Amino acid sequence: MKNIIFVFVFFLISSCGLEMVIDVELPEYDKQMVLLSQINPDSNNVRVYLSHSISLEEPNSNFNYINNAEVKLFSDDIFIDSLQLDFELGEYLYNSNTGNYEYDTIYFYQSNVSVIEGNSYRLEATAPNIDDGLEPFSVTSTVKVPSSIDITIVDFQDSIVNHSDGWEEKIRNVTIEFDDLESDNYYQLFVFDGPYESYYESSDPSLIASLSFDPFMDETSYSGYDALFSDVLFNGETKQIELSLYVWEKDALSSLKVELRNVSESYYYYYRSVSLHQMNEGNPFAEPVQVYSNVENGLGVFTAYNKSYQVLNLNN
Amino acid sequence: MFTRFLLLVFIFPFLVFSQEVTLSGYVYDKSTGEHIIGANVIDPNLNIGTATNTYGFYSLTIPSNFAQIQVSFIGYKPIEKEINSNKNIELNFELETSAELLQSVEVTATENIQKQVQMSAIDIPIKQIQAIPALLGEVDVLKALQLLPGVQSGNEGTSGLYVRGGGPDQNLILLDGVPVYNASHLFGFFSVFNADAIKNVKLTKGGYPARFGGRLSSILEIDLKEGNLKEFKGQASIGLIASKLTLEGPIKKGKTSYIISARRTYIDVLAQPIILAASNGGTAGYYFSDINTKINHKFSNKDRLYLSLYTGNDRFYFRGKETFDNFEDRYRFSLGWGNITSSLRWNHQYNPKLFSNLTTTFTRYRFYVDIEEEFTETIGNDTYNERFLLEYYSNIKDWGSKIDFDFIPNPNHYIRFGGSYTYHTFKPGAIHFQEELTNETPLDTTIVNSEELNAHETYFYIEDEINISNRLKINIGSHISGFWVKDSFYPSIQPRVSSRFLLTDQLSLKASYAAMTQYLHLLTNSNIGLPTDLWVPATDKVPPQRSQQVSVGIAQTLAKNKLELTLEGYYKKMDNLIEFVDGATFLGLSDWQDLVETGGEGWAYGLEFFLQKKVGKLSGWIGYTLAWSNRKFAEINFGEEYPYKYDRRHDLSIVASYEFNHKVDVSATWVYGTGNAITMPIATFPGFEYYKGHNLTDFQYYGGKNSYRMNPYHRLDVSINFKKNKKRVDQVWSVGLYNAYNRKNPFFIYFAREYQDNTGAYTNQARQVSIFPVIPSISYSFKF
Repeated sequence: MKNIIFVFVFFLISSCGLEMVIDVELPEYDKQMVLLSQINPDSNNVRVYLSHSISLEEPNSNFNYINNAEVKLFSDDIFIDSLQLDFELGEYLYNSNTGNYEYDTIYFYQSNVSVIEGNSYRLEATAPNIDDGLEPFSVTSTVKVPSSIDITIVDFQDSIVNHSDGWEEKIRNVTIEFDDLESDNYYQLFVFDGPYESYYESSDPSLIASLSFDPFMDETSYSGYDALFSDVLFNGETKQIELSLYVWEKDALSSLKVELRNVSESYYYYYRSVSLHQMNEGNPFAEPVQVYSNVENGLGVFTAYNKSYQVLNLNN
Repeated sequence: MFTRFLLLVFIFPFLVFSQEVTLSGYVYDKSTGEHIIGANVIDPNLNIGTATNTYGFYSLTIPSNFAQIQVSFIGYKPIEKEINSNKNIELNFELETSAELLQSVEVTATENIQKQVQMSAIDIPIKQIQAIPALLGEVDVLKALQLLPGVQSGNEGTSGLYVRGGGPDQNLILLDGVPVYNASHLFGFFSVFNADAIKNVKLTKGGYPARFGGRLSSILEIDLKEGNLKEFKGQASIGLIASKLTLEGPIKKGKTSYIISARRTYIDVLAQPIILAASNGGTAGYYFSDINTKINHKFSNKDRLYLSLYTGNDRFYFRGKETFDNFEDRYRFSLGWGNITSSLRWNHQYNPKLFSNLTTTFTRYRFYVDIEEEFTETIGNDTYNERFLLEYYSNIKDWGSKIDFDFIPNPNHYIRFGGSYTYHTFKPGAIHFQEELTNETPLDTTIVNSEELNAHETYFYIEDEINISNRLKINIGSHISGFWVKDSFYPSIQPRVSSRFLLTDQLSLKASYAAMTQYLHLLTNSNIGLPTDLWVPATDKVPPQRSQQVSVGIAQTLAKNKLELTLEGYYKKMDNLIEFVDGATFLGLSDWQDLVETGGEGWAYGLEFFLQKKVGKLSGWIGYTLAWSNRKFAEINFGEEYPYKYDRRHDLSIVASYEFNHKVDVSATWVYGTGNAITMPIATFPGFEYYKGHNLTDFQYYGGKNSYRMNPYHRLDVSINFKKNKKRVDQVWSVGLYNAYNRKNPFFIYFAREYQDNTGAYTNQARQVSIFPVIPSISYSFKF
């Protein structure tokens, strides 16, 4: 019996402090071209960001812009323009290589073409592969510019809520209206109280349904700045949405603006997936969410929107 | 058509065997009085026979008034009896254990495997389970089942079962006939079943007879011991994790007996002084415990009553306080879960050919989280209090009743029929919140994020095991079920057929088809089988899961019946599966029905090889599975088919036990499995940030859902038992090694992100974490 106990104690001691974390290698990964572009008829240009993905194991410090690409824009399959490389300065950042603070350089391709609602646009981008011996990058993506949907503020009322501690809270109730089209449509709604983007609440079922990806939200109302929703519950109908805004400085505001973006399907699915992707990143208990892409042979997204708005001047 | 079927089944047999004599009764263990399940009762001369049912009952009709009956069961001395009677006879048999045969552990079948019509099923005697080396020496029924072909384990060390590509929710686990909804202790590392109280374990993974239903992938029947009818006996063990005590004996000899078995972990008790010393008055701990109790009473040879009760609990807690000059903070946290199951069963024998069992059941699984914090602050003469209480609780509760009949008109037919009704209550989750602040009105509210649902489930079945010829035997039947929930009704007719064709005396060909419907879903979005996983019913928005499975195979005995070989192929199609929508978790405020993707499809197919040696000093088996399991949902993985999380291409288990002599035996298992499929980032790429448009940020690229394979899993476990008999007490010292060669098996992978000073770049290194190194164990047990 003594031998048994000796053997047991030996193994007990020897198993303590064993290294249980080891490095593992990722599978081989070929870089992919990433195309990012968002167009709308109110802009007088088309801008495209091109970069490439990079294996997680490779050192990486920037967005890996591709500066030697050929980028072409087509409208309904008719060639429109070749986009030209340009850049702008981004954030002022510390560069550890030079030891100085420098502006980040953002490269993009641009054409001074205005897009027209209802038209489909296709982007084609080609560039030599970053890695020698591999096929050149060649990606394509298409999007249709949605129609503008007029939005109207049909009602608004201010009310005061008196709290027990003496605090007065001003709530602005706003009702908006728009005519949805028969096809599948996707929207994003913004409200500006004066110059500020306003946080708003709504118990509208379409806005609540847009939250199905955010389980921590109270299912009886939407709260946020930018509800992204589909017309699945009101397809082809005239839609009214009631909103409540909390006004913190009740006398300071001079105008109320509501902005409705009619967004492309790619816009809706892309930002929805981005929201989920970022929410779950690093959460070991949630399944990871892949970011949506409509770029063939590559990654990224080509989206479009068309906005309309109404402003009420509250000083009058 | 149905009338013809009834005629065939019920009338024809009586006409043919009008001069028959029927023997009926029970087969018992001579030393304990326990029923023996699956004992053979045969007449080799007449080439007819039967096997005892779950309650040890048999009925054998012979075509003349003379028979030479043999009664046998592996591990027992067979007995023979000559019958000469022209009247029906009630005859009970008592089998005596054979010391020689018991020296080797056996996996048994009721009859030679090639002769059974049932395929894709296996019984494991508890002796075999107890002989397999176990994590920390704690014997675990479910982990033993993971070593069988077609059954895969989930994550390292956990006891979840993934049968033929199905999920853990698709296993119907019946403890003395009662469903157990959460079979895990310690976050899945141990199962709730205490091996000391268990008599028999049977797993059916395909070719389901019509009497079973309600789950898509497997039926696991666990029968508790009945209690020694002859003398008082006890058994106790002390291990690293838990201690166990089992007592059993007669209340009235030969008539009434009981068994009670209890188990509790004690790390919380042992560590308490250290925790108290280290935490300044605070305390923390974890324990699980369970108790199995069973009482049975034999009114007569025709009537017997069983009452079984199981209760098990897990609890993790901490509490403490922090005190400053004028401020005190008291807090406590408690998380717990547990099952209660109970059943009352009445066996009745109407006549020598008709036996029934009436069962009423209750089962409940509940989970709760309880958090409370209280602040007290004294400023001058004033004292301010703040108290917060948050409780989350969910449960599922069933009341049920079922009746099963065994009708054995003659040796060519074994008819089973019956029905069941279950009343389900689902409370998928509620949050209770209290807030009390000095000088403020207290807040006390309960938020029910998903309403309580009540549902009615019922089924009827009939099946007949028919000897069509000496070579061909079939089991044909139908399981008809219905489920009512709110205003929805889901009916289902599930045909079942199994067949066996004897090619030679040692070799048979088998085939089966089974349709299954499952009215319950399990909501789980974790990889580790948390107790928070939630059972919910099919509703008008979320329809029931359905499956169809086809299996074909061969079964053969070799080396004078010392070896058994089965080779089976299966194809299973599953519909109406559900998954959480990407990123959802149910501990929020939303209704669970809005958080799931419905209409999922699943495909599972594969090949299973099983070679088993049942007798001799060396016993054990080799099990190998080659399998595929995929899923497809419209809104997951952009509508593309993807591998199921536990899609495992290769799965191999080798189990061996060797008995040197009466005092020493050794056991070893080696397992190998393809790495689990996970979704893992392999690259980064830039994208527009939510929502403004042109701000760029980095996202991770995953390639595809579950497209990355973790490293293969393999592990060797060994154990050695030293046995001693002293003054009528059997003592066993067991010493074991889990993961004997210290394989670093993957549990999860994370990325270490490091900033490189010289380049200003970031690097990411994938790191695999393992949780179980080589782990020794020791335990001591004794029986008296």
